[in-house]
Amino acid sequence: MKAGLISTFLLLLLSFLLMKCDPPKGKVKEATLPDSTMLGLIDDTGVLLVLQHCNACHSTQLISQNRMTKVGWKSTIQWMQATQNLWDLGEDEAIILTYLAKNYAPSAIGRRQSLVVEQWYALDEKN
Amino acid sequence: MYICCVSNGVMKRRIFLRQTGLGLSGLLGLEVVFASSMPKDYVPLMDRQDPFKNLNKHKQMIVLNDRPLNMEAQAHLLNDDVTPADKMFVRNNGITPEKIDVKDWRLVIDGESALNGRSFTLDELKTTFDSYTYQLVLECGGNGRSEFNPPAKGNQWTIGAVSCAQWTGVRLRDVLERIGVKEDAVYLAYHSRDQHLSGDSKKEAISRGIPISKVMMDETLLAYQMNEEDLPLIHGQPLRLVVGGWPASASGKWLERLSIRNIVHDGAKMGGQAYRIPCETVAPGTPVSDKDMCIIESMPIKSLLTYPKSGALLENQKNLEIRGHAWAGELAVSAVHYSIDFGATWDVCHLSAPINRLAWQHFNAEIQFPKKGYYEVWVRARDQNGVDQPMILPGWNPKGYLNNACHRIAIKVV
Repeated sequence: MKAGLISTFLLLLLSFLLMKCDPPKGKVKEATLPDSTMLGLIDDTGVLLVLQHCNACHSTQLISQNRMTKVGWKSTIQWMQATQNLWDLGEDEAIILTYLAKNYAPSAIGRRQSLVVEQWYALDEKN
Repeated sequence: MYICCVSNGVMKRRIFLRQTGLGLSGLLGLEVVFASSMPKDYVPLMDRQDPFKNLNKHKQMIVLNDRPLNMEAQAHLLNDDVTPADKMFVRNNGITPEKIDVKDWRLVIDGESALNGRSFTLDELKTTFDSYTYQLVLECGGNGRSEFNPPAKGNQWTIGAVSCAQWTGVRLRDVLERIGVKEDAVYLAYHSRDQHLSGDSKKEAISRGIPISKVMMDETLLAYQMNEEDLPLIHGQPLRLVVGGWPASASGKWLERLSIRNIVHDGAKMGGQAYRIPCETVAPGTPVSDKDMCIIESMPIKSLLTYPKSGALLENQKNLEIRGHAWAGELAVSAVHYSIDFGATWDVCHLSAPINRLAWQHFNAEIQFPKKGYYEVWVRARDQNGVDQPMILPGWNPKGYLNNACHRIAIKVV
């Protein structure tokens, strides 16, 4: 294993040990980060930045269960910055917003959707 | 699963990962170089955390979010008259305390409007004040949020963020009367042990409360038991507020301090848009400024069909007994009706009286289906003021609260 790779590993290890819910240090290089699909997020450009910035404090499930427009996601980021200690996302913000608005956008649904039954079952009951 | 490391008892960093079977190398995309040198008892950087581990929750509970933990029941799990602990929803805003030392625990009572602030041990609370037991409905203000369109942000609760357990504790009123409440008192605020998601010890995950008028009600409890057992950690050990009929966020868990305030409490998730709806109704999707948002108090009339589970095939029978519960915030339920023709016609259900105020009431009915086919059974409850549940999502609001649209299940007579 190359020395550079080992030092990257040690740096990441150290950062896990010492940081609590802090911004990633320096520019994040996506290539050094893990395969994103394991966290349940859609794999697309920017997902690793989302992991670095968002998953530091909360589960990816808080992202994947929500649907917002770019304006909505931006206001959510601003709310987290104002009240939840989220840091300035710098130039990553535009990439993150594009990722979220594309992959977690609202879809047009009616006010009541058809009932979904995962599995019909025979009700064993005599009346 | 989460990665964390514990150093001097301080949680330094956590990362949750959903997929199981993932090692450190999987996370980093790298080998663990000195894996063989790791001490055997080393608290791993990655401690695989299953939300069901140590929680004693029913396996069919649905996890919406594992950090912070948010878990809801399914309708058929809530069929018990009194909700057992394993089927009670979990709504956390922060990180669950790891351990509560009940012996060293004290409840501090202070605030601008407290005459003689002091603290109590749990034993002092139990021995100083009379205990009371009530069945009380706790429902998350955002229960039903998943039906909002445009979508509302937050945990996408469906129908299962509601419970009616039996709570035992002392009356909050009795405790405050012992402390002495100044005439200018407006609000009772709670402060809890759970940690803010960011790990910032100066921030509270949630610190809400209730007006003094609600404090003074018989059923407003400082509870130390649920269903005749000491509070489980996840539900607020050793002491929590139980404010029946109001958004469950008023029922603070892991209490450490109560403050008698001379203003409407201004703690975390009291202001902004949290647990508030537009003071005047708005069209779906309308942005509403914070100053035009009002705090939610009593929850609206609602009901849930808990038997049978949706998706029942009726073979060789056209009769079906349905069962469920209905509740109405501060009010009682006066009637429950069901429809098998999408609301065109309604029949009345048998409805029980509440065992005490603010408990849910049970309904049942015997349905006869006219012929084979697909049916939906809808139920609609009515409160004591004659107000019914709506058929569809009422009053869109930015944060997705108070969806009390009627519950439906699917049935096929085959």
